[in-house]
Formats: sequence, C-alpha cells, structure tokens
Amino acid sequence: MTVMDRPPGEIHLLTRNGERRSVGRRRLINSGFFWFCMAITSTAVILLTVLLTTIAVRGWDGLGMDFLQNYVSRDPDSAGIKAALWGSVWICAVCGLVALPVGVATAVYLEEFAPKNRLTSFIRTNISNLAGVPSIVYGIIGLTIFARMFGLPGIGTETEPGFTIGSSWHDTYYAADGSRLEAPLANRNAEPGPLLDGSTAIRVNETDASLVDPTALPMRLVPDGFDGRFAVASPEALSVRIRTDPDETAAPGMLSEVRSMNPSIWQEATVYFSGERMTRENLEPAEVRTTRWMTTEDETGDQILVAAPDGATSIKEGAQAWRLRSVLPMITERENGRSRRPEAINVLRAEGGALTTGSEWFEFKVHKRMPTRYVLVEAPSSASESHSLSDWDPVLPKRRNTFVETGLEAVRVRIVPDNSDAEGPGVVLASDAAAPMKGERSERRAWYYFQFPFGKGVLAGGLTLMLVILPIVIIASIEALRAVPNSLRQASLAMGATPWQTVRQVTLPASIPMIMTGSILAMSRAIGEAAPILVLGVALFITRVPQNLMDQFTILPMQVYNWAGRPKGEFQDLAATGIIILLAVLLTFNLTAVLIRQRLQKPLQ
Amino acid sequence: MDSSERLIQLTRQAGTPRGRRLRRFRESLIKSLLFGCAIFSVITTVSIIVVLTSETLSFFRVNTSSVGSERVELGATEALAPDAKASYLGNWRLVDGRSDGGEHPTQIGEGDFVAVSTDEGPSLLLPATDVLAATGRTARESGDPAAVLSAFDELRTPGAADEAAGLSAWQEAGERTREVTPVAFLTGTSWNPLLGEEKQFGIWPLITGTLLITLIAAVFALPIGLVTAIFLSEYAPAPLRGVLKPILEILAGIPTVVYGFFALTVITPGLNWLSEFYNGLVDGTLLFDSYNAMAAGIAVGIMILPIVSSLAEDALRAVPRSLRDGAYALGSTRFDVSVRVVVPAALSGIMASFLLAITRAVGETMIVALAAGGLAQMAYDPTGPAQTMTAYMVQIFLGDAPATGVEYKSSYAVAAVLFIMTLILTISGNIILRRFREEYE
Repeated sequence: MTVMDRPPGEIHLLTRNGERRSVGRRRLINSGFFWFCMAITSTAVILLTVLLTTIAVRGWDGLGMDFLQNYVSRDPDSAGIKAALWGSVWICAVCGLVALPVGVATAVYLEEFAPKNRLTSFIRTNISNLAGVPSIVYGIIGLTIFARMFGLPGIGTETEPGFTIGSSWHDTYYAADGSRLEAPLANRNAEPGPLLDGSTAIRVNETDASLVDPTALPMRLVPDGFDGRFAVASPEALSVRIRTDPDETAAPGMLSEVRSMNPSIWQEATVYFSGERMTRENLEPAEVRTTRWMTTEDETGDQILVAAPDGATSIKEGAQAWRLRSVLPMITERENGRSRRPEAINVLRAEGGALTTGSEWFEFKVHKRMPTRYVLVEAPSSASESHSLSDWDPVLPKRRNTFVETGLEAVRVRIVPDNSDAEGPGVVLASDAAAPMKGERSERRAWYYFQFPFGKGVLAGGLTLMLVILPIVIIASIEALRAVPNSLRQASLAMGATPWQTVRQVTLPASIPMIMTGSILAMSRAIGEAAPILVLGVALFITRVPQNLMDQFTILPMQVYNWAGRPKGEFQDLAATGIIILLAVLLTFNLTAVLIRQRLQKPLQ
Repeated sequence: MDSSERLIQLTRQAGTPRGRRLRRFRESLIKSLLFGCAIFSVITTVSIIVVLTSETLSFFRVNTSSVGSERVELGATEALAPDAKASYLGNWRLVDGRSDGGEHPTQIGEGDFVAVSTDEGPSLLLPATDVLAATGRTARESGDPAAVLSAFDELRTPGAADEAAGLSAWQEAGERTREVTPVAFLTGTSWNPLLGEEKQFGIWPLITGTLLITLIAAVFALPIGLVTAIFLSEYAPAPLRGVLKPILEILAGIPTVVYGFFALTVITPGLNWLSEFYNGLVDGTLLFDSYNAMAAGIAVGIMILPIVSSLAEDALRAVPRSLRDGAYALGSTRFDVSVRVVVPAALSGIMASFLLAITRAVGETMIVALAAGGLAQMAYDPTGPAQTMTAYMVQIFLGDAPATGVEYKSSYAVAAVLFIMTLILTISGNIILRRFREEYE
C-alpha cells in the first residue's frame, strides 16, 4: 500500500513497519508528551522550592548579628559561625590566589603556545580526567602532601615542625597579683630557668588566656562552677571532716574524721584535668592513669574528693582528700569517639542533678597528655609530695589553681610593669620560688608565622581546595580563550607582535570577562566544598579566627555538617541558619558572575 | 582601548635588534613559565597515583592483629632497642589502657601478649605466640610465661650476627599470620575495621553500598534529567527556558552538604510519611531508619540531576538543524522529531552525560556521610543504613583512628579503589563525549 492509495482528506504517516497512525492520535501523543515533559521538568522547580522553604523555615529564626559574631558553642542559643565565616574567607583567599593564576596560565599555554604533540594532548586529557576525580581524593592528597609532607624524615611533624618562622616560646609564671607572666625562651627546648630578680617577663592580659568557656567543650557533665559538683547516683549521707590548715581553704588534706561510711559500687568516669583548649589532637592521651575516687561532702558542705587505695570499699580516717574547688575535673566524653567508654554515660546522664549529699565511688582516669599542661589527681605516695601540694600558693587565682601539677612549686613574683603598656615587658623585682611551672610552656605565633610541614592549617586547606578547583578553572579559561576569534590573533601577529604580546594585549583582554565568570563559579564551588577539608582533619570546635597561615580553621560547610549531623533539633536549626549564610555568599558570587557577564562581555564577532 | 589601537601600538614597539633579542628571551621565559603551570596538573595526577599506591602498599604490609584499641605493628623494629624491657601480660585486653581480664593463664595461647616498653615512646604489644614462633618454639612446647620472656630476650640480644636474622624471622612470623593480602581486600565480603578483635578488610560491602546509593540516584536522576533535557532543548518556549535554566544552575551550585541536610531533615521523614500513608506502620516502627540509603540516594540524585540535564541538553542541541528539518518535512510531530530523531542522534552524548553524572554520584561524600549512616554491610536494603567508600573515609579521618593504624591506612586503599573506579568512568565518559563531538563537526 502506498501513500497514493489512501483516501484523500486523511493524512497518515507511514512508519517503518507499515503501521498507520492518524494525525489526531499523533497530535494527542505529542501534546501528551509535552505535558509529561513539563511535569517532569517541574520536579526540579518543586525540589528547589521545597529545599529553600525548609531551610528558610528552620533557619530564619536563628539569623541575626549574634549568629555572625558568636563562636561555636555547646549552647545552641549562643552558637555562631564567626570562626567558620572567617575560615572560609581565608581558605578561599589562599585557594583563589594560587588556583586562578595557575589555571589561567595553563589555559593560555594550552590554547596559545602548546605545540600539537602527544604531550599537549596528554595534558588536555589529564585535565579533563582530573575534573572527574572525587574531591575527597584530593583531600587525602592534600593531607599527605601539604599537611604532612609525606612525613619525610628530618622534616618534622605537624605538631613539632622541623622549620618555623615567627614563633617564640615562653614559660609562664604567675605574679603575686594573680596575673600571668611570660618569660621568653631562646627556643622550645631551652631548660626552664628560675625567674630571678632582673629577669624579663611579659605581663599577659587575662583575656589572652587560652582558656575556653567550659560550656563550649564537649561535655556530659559540667561541674558546677569551680566547686565541681557531681551528679551522684546513690544519695546516702556521709559526713567527713577534712583536716586542713586553718588559713588555707582550698588545700588538700587528710581526712580526720569520718562519721558514716557507705561502701558502694565502683564507678568510673573520664576526667580531663586541663585548662588547655581541647582539640582533637590534644585530647589524645599519651598516658592513662587510673585512680579510684569518691566524691563526698565534708561537714562544711564542700565537695571533697577522696582517694581510695586499691580494694578499698570505704573511707577511713587518714585517707587522702582534696577539696573539689582546688581541682577542676571536667568530665568529658569525646564527641566522635564512639569507642570511648560508653559505660561512663550511665553516671553522667544524671546531668544537672547536682546532688550535694551522697557518695559514689568514681574511678577517675587521668589522661596525662604530653604537650599540654595537666594535673595528676593521684594520691600522693609520700609525705613530701603531699606537702608540696598543700603548699599551693593561695594567692594564685582560683582558675590557676585548677591547672597545677603535682610536684609543682608555686611561684610568687612581683613584677614592675612598664609605666604605660600593660602588656609590655617588665622586670621581675622579687621572686619567692625558683622553679618555673612545668608544662606551662607556651608558644606565641606572629602573624607571619610559617612552618614546615604546613600542618592542618589555612595554607594546607587552601592548597587542597586549589587542587579541587584547578581543573574547573582551566577548563573555563580554555573555553574563554577559544571564544576569541582567530582573526584577532592573526591580525596581531601580522602586525609583528610576538605570541606573548598577542596574548597579553589582545587575547587575554578579550577573554577576561569569560575567564572571570568561570573563575567566580569555580570559587563558589570551593566555598561549598567540605569533603577535602573534612579529610584534612580540622578540629570541629574552633573558637578563634585564624591568625596566620598555619592556624587552625574551620569553614562554613564543615560547620553546617557538624551541626546537621547532631540529633538535637536545635542544632539542625543552626545548620539551616548556617546554610542560609552559605547560600547567601554563593548567591553573591553568582550574581557577580552574571553581572560581569552582562557588563563586560561584548560580542567579539 | 580598542583592539585596533592596540595593534597600532604594537607596531610602534617593533624595536632595535637588541630589543628584539631581549624580547625573544622574555618570550621563551614566559613560555616556559606557562609550560610549568601546565605541567602542574600532570604533577597533581602523578602525586595522586604515588600517594595512593605507596600508602596502599604500606596498608598491605601493616600487621592487623589488634587488642582493643591498641595496634601491634611488627614492622616497627625500633621496639627492639637495647633498652627494651619485656613483660608477659597474658590475656590482656587493653580497653583504653585498662586491663579487663588480668588473669594470668598458665598456658600461653592466642591473645596473649608481651608488653615491650622502652624509655621513649609508648609501649608496644607483641603477640606471645609470635615471639615464641620467631625463636622456633611453639606455645604447646613452652606453656610457661617465662618462656616468652626468655624468647624475647633471645630475640633482642641474639648476638650481632644473628640479630638481623632474628628480627626478620620475627617480622615474617607476624606477617605470615596476620597480613591483609590484596586478594583478601579485593574479594572479601566483610568489612569490620574498627571493632572487635578480628579486623576484617574485605572491600565489597563498601563497593555494594556505593553502588546501591549510585543506583538509587541514577534511577531517580537519569530519566528525569533526560526528559528535562528533551523539554529544554526541543519543547520549551524561550521565556520558560529562561526560567528553567537558572533554576537548574542554582540546583547545580548548591553545596552538597546542603543536600545532605535536606536528605536528613526532609527526605527521610517524607519517605516515612509516604510509607506510613500507604502501608501503615509495620510492627509499630517506621519503615526507613533515620539514616538510610534511600534518602541519601535520592539526595545524590537531586545533586546529579542538573549535571545530567545540562550535559544531555548540550548533546541534544548539538544535533544539526538539518536532521530536525528533514524529519519535519516528512510530516513528523515534535514528539516524533525529539524521540525518534534527535535522541537517537545524540545518544552517545546522552550516554556520556549519564556516565559523568554517575561518576559524581560515586564520588559524592557529604550527602552519604550525613544521611546514609555508617554500616558497611552487603544488605542491599534501601530502607536501612549503608556505607559508601567515601563515607568510610570520612569516618576514619574525622574519627580518632591514629595516623599509623591499619584502619587509617585502609582508607588510602579504599581511596585508591574509588580513584580507579571514577577514573575509568570519567575516561570512558570523555571518550564517548569526544567521539560524539566529532560526529557532527
């Protein structure tokens, strides 16, 4: 049957297998398909609407200046993203400063200079393949190369770099008025010397202390102020009189009188006695010591900590004891370390129930950490040690008392301040004790501080992100250069210009709007990228804006990830607020790109 | 300055012979600088390969016998410093430095350890049976704990000549018994690197987890993306296109961590609401876990949707106008033209867009780390948790695994597998893309 055989007035399409379909039916299919496509395509619109609505609804309330100006905190109401925001700025600056020149230069080479040979085509293929490598792989490479430098021998480690610029070391002392003094040292390994009359020291403002808000730390049980009250399971009264010197209220002493005893279950808890900033790195215990303890109350109502020898089930007269206000036990539990003592949670779940009477044996593990200061809360084994402990200088401020080691001799010094400058160096006028505090050695880093290997700082993070966006920048720049008509180049060369002059004065100016658009889009990718930075292993609780290229940092998407992953609803709202900020930044970038595209890009043909 | 003015300026600059020589030198200097930048990407590739290869090889060398959280590395010969002291521990299980079962058995068996401590550095645990084996004794022959210590002493001070032999015997004993072999790694179906005494490193649960989530994402995104591309390229009137394209671009620009948040807070509850709506509660529990593969897969699908649609649209638009005109001339409707002419003509480009999108899905990290849970199992259950290769890496690098540990090294091996997978996908996608580009040029 041919087309001619068909009755006139009805048009059919002859399909391959001779099937006939009416125009009406085909029209129906056609319009049906149109609406089907329309419906499917609107999926994207619906998804975007739902996504943005959810985020706006959940995050809008948290938005405000406080959110931008506060640091991360355990308390959802006072948590903010200042550190993450600034971290993102730093990271993107480093990333852009390296990736954009290198990327554009690569594109210029490949488009304008490269001979047509195997090497060039290999480089081209390689770049398009690099663009497909998952960003997390770049994270691993960044960690190994930039942060660790392969761990090559002689190059040092992240925490003990083999080469530094702009760092100075200090030993810390406390003056009679309680302020902190820092005496400069020649290097990190210098022998701690006595702070004698005539030594030079810098008075440090209290605000400069590296103490963090205890509520900002991952904790299950926050001790009640510095009195350190614990939630205790079985409240049975126990009256203890602790013998102390009459004029020393915060000193440890011996139990002199026990009115009732209550043997109970041994419990254990993890206690970090540390005033240092807790990061993932310095939570790693270098040594673990266990001692059994019981908290109870003495007759004045003070919480005391009683040491128990092995096997003891009750408190006897003569047991070693401390008043809890003299040690600040921070019972903490690692946020991500699931392996870390879930059994401690049973005790600590009673959060907030600050029982003052009752007794419970605790087994405190004191994590003694190598690089930071620490307190060993262990029963002194000899009388002399106990003596040196009870000799704590009551003049020391309470906060300081809590971070003192065993065997540490207190320093009482008077310092003559510079007339005007409170932070300026002064000269020690009179010192009572000679030994400096062990473990109080601190490092100050100048703004130009540089170390080798880079460690997990801003520089390593920025370079890692640079690896991620470099292929994108290159590909965008190549596209831009290709869009420049060849006639312009040929004209320039015909006038006697060298290839580089052609590039610099003709090709690049013509393509720069497109290159900028592509680069800005690549940078917006860098801002949103979290995986490589996450692999780099940055600490999650950063309450500081980066001060130098090697400083710790966190970035916006990391902060969002941290909050979004928590079960508590308030933190997810915080994540939504963080996402609003993140999207606002990205929108700004994209708008800039669009504006550049519209304003600068003139048709070249 | 106008381009033509620039050209005139250039002609004025044509200078003296000396100036020309100088310029030629500058030219070659700049050229080599640019070449250096171009080579940088090659260096990146080379370092990726070097790092992944060397660390993966060292993963296969690291001994995996472990007790609690302490790892034993028999490769660490510095433990045998002259001042090393050994003490027999017997059946200790170190959990955070505390011994659980301090009972000293009279007979030495598996799980017994010798603690070696030196003045510097942390102590090291060595399997007692290995210490015995290295000196040619067996546990049965010498059940006495003292035999272990004497065996250690024998190993430590065997005399200058024998020392190396003793060490290597020791190392071999350890490696023979507890090495992770490449075969076991690539064929094993049990992935249990963090918990338990017996660590297992068979990568298949991670690969199936990755494939499960990629499959869900592909089933979601590829059809929708293709239809969207057809609509945008063939049907959509210009104003509608002007609205839809930016929306897709916004979707493409949203950071993946946002999609992870979306999966966690919207998709999972939404899925549960749907399943409850249709089936009611099964045994009073929700069908989908709070971390599940389905939600993560859908979120990954949303993420790759704009990639598919924009790449596929490019492919469709690259089909020459003449093909469409020919079809219309034969009396085709728009539907016939799109589905029977344009799509088959652009098929290779569409395939390439699918491959590249799948590559992104395989390498996606933040969504799965947030929403998919962290259970490496070969369950293929979309309602339960799954762990992908990327999520495992996140778990390791964010967790507290020490940098020398075997889990830590294992993440490099996983990264190597991921790298190879995505590389194959990218290369084949790019090859198809290039072929198809040439087709109509």
